[in-house]
Amino acid sequence: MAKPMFIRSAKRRFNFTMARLLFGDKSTAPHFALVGPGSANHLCQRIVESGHQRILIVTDKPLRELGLVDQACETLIKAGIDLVWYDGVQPDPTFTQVREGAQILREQACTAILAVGGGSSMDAAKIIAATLDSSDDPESWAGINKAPETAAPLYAIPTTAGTGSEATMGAVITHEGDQSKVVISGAALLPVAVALDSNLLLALPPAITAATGLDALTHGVEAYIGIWSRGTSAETARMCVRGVAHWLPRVMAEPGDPEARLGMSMAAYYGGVAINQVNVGAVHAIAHQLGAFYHLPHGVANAMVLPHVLRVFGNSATARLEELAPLMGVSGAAPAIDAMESLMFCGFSETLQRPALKSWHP
Amino acid sequence: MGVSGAAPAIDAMESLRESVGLPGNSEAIKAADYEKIIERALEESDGYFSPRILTAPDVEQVLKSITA
Repeated sequence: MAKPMFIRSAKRRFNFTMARLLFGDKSTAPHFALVGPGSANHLCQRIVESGHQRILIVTDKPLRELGLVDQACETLIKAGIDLVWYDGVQPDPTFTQVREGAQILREQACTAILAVGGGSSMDAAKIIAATLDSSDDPESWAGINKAPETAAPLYAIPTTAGTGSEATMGAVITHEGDQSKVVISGAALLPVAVALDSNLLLALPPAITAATGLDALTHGVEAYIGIWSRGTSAETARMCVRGVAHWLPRVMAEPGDPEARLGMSMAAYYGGVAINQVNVGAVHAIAHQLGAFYHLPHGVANAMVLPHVLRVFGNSATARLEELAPLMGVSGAAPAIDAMESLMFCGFSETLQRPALKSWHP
Repeated sequence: MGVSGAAPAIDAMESLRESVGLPGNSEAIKAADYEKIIERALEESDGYFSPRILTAPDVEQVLKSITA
């Protein structure tokens, strides 16, 4: 049974005050992203240059069997880096999978992790990374900012465009017992660097493209309409919404279009940057339960829930939704964009303490 | 002249969902589970900073809208 409204309201005010005191108004995305076709190779080259000799690759079996992981890791393989594999990640990763990966990390003495895959692989990799210096049970880290303060350096190459996990310091892990999902977060979970390589998304099936695309849209919308705005959250949320509205229809029509794929990757990344600063909202709170109860894919659940939650918000969200309408193409007001223009528009280097994004023109 | 009201943006999001072939509801969702779903959703939702706090009837309304 839900707590009385006055208690929930007081708790929210307390949490809001604490969040603002803890995090202030500065952005929290102090990593960099390499962007463009072939950028996975550039990221791997940076990993080689960083001196890591043994790296744990966290991924899933189907992706590995497709050859996409080898494609993403080509530069590491050519450089003779010792690659250790954990490919047991499944959709809605569990604590058991995290423990399996953590055991390999320790037994094989890997010094860094490269996550290749969708949100599940990246989320699992974050928690595996956090076990490097900690013998705690990862289940004890459930909650905001409760993850260890140190972790193995984590690099990420997303092969979907939607979860935004590559840009966040949070992970969602499932309890096997009751299938409930818990959020674990902490600054050390944020990937050191990521590659948004559109070449790896060209064969992504339409159903996954659509579902992850609507997941990204939900991130942008929830980050924008919430009562908290800080750092670049508003700008990146708007870029996410604008990018999804512009690129998703095109990528559905032309799945092999590298520019459209890159545009969606950028939109998803922006959504991740946005929620990393101000978190998600009530849509996710409901969608997570639908995933836990019925195994509905996360993006599908978000897509179903989103409009209905926005309607029940009523006047509390109207002004923000009016601002998003042109970005969704209402009245034909959304101007044409290209992926690289998106990069420039965001102006990361001006708003973060150090440059966060570097475009790559092969 | 700007857009007036929340409906145009919400309608555009629904149109996008439809256009990419995603469903608007699911037969998997059971009314018998509403109570547990609502309880867990409210607990999680209270940790976020949405425009306003959702109530149990709010979540039930959402669930009814997406139950096939």
